[in-house]
Amino acid sequence: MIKLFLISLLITTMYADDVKLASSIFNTIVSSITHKKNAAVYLYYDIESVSRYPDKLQVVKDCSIADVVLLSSIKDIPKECESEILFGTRYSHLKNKNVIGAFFWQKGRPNILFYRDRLAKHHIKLDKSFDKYIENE
Amino acid sequence: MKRLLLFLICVNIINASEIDSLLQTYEQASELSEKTKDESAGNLIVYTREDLERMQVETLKDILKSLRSFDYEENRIGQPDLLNQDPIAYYSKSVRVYLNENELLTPLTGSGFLLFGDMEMDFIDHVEIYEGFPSFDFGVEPATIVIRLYTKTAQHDAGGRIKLSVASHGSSKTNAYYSGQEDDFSYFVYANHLDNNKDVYQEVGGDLKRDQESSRFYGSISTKNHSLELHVMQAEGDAFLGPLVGLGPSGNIPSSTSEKGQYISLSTHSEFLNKSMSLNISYSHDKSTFTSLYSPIPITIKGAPTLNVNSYYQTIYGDTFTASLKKEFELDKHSITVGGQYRYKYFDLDNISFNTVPSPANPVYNKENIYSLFLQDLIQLSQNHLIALSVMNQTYDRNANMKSENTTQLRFGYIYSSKEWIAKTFIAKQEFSPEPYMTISPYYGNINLKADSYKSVFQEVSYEKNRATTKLILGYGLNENTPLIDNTFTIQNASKEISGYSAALEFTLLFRQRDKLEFQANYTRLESPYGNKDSKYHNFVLRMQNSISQFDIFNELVINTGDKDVNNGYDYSAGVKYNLTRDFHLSLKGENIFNSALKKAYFTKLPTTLSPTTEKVIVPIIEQKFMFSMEYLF
Repeated sequence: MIKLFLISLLITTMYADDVKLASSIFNTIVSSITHKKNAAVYLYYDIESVSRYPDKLQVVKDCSIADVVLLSSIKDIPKECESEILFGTRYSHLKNKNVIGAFFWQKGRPNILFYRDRLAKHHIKLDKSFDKYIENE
Repeated sequence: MKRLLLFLICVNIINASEIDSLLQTYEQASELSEKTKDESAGNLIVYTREDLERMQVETLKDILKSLRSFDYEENRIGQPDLLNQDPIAYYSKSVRVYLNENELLTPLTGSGFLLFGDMEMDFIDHVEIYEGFPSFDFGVEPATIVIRLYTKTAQHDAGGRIKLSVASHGSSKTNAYYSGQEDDFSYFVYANHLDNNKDVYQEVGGDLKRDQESSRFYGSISTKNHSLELHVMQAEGDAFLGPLVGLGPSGNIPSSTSEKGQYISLSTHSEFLNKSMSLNISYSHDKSTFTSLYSPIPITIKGAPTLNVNSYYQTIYGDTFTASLKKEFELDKHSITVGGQYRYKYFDLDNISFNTVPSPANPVYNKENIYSLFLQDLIQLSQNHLIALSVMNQTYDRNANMKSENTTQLRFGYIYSSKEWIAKTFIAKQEFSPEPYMTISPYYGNINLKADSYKSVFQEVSYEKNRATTKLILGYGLNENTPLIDNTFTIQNASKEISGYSAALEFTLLFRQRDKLEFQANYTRLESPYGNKDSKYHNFVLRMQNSISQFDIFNELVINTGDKDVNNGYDYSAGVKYNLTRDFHLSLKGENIFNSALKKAYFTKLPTTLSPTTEKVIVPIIEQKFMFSMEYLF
């Protein structure tokens, strides 16, 4: 769009950067969960940053072959996904006990939160840089 | 800022396992102003959320007091009036304030700046100020300055915050907000109570006070393409000198004044067709009541049925309805925006009493329908060159015997942008219809007032390298039919054209990770419409933001010099914020710490000529104030 001419030079780049950065954070989180370089993720419904800039993640269309399911909603999660590793994008997604953690905005800043018991249930051991983001439920 | 972020992004790419710094970089890159600001719309000043928080901006005045080419002023009622021309109560009809996508408006005055020019900023995420006759696609009517306030959003601010402040003279502020996101919608609610007390100025006849107590509620609910906002405000307090200006030797110092204000608005914003079409609808209702007592010394008022006025009472009601539809078309190198807008205004200022005897103003009209069309074509000549062409036309259709009016605005813009340089040229011709308070005020109104027009050219050049930005802005304006008060205390169009010149030089340096140094030097010269010598005005701003460990420190010095009919002033303000934890913060702020800021003179009696020797009350606009705050996020 031409209206965003300047923004295309100065600002849209920045917007793209924040979307790319969000994807980088998802990449880092999923890599830490799976210990895989090219983990497969299923997006329920859609997560713009990952669908636009998957980077090292493989976005798959079948929940059953996904290493991690990234959630934009916890409503009507398909049954075949429920047993997979679920990761949310809102704090409220943690209300679902099957969701091991979430990356979300709250209080004006981005946050990452994992629950210790839920990680243990899936035998997930995150690398040490995530220690401060793990809490007891 | 952009370079800093790119630098940080690079650092993070190299060291991607550092999830902490990745999160921090993401937070900075997600600044909402990066998505809302429009560099092609005018000479832009942005206060990001980080700026507002680190500068401890409590009210809009805190940033307007250092606004390029202007100084924050208030009218004789103690209300914000950036372009004040005392003794006219309100002169800022062309300073327009928007909350998200809808204008905050009072119908009698033409803009809502007097109600919202000093509102608290605790629910605001960031502020964009467009100077230099900005783009037409913002609103129904033309503007010289557009102030866009964007509220915090549930997308970023899920959760809540409570804040308590105490300040000088027993002032206090308490507010809280809470927001959340569901799958299909999000919501944000905010409530505030402010008790803002100021110095008392003792004059012969009475004590002049400007204390105000106000409450506000703001709530919004949003889905992916639609939002609904409710905004309610109630205020009451002292009205300083009051709206009246007395004739004769006794002047017009009131023994007491008071005002009450109520405002409610309901507005919607919708986007369609992949966000290429938008529809904004808003309704507002406002009510203002003013009381002034002149006892034991009565005053003489122009337009009053009695020579000796001991008391004055007036209630003003207003209603507005605005609908705005815009559509963007992308055609090769052209981005064309077409807009059609409608605004209805109703105003009732008939409820006036002098000495408790009703004295209706019987205005010539009390309704106005405004039909506005605009067309904008942004032509991308090449990767570095953009041309903006805009035309807008309004028809003001008034009831009863008031004449209709047609006004037109034309705007040409050229923008060059490269990696380090940006140059913006704006040439505009704008016509501003007289607002109702100028035509039907029982004290100084003139129904024969013609539209005032402005021809202007602004040139902005900025250069950015090594995290340092230097900006130069030059402006020239030729004002025709400027509304002025004459020696019979009636607003008239100026008989001669008035030239105005402005120059601003700004330098911004980002250093360390989050520290920022800003310097501004501004010069303004305005020809006198009365044949006196030109008004010359200089203003300098030096501002520093530092972060050291858990402390955010802010220092600002604003120096005003020049012909303002009062002594020069400097305003040194400073603050420190201690982030005890990520969720609990303590702040200490001093405003006008040395009590030496610019003062303003108000007429104490109606001048027969606008001679500087006429008796005036001189008071600081920004008073000395110290404030302690604590906030908790949950």
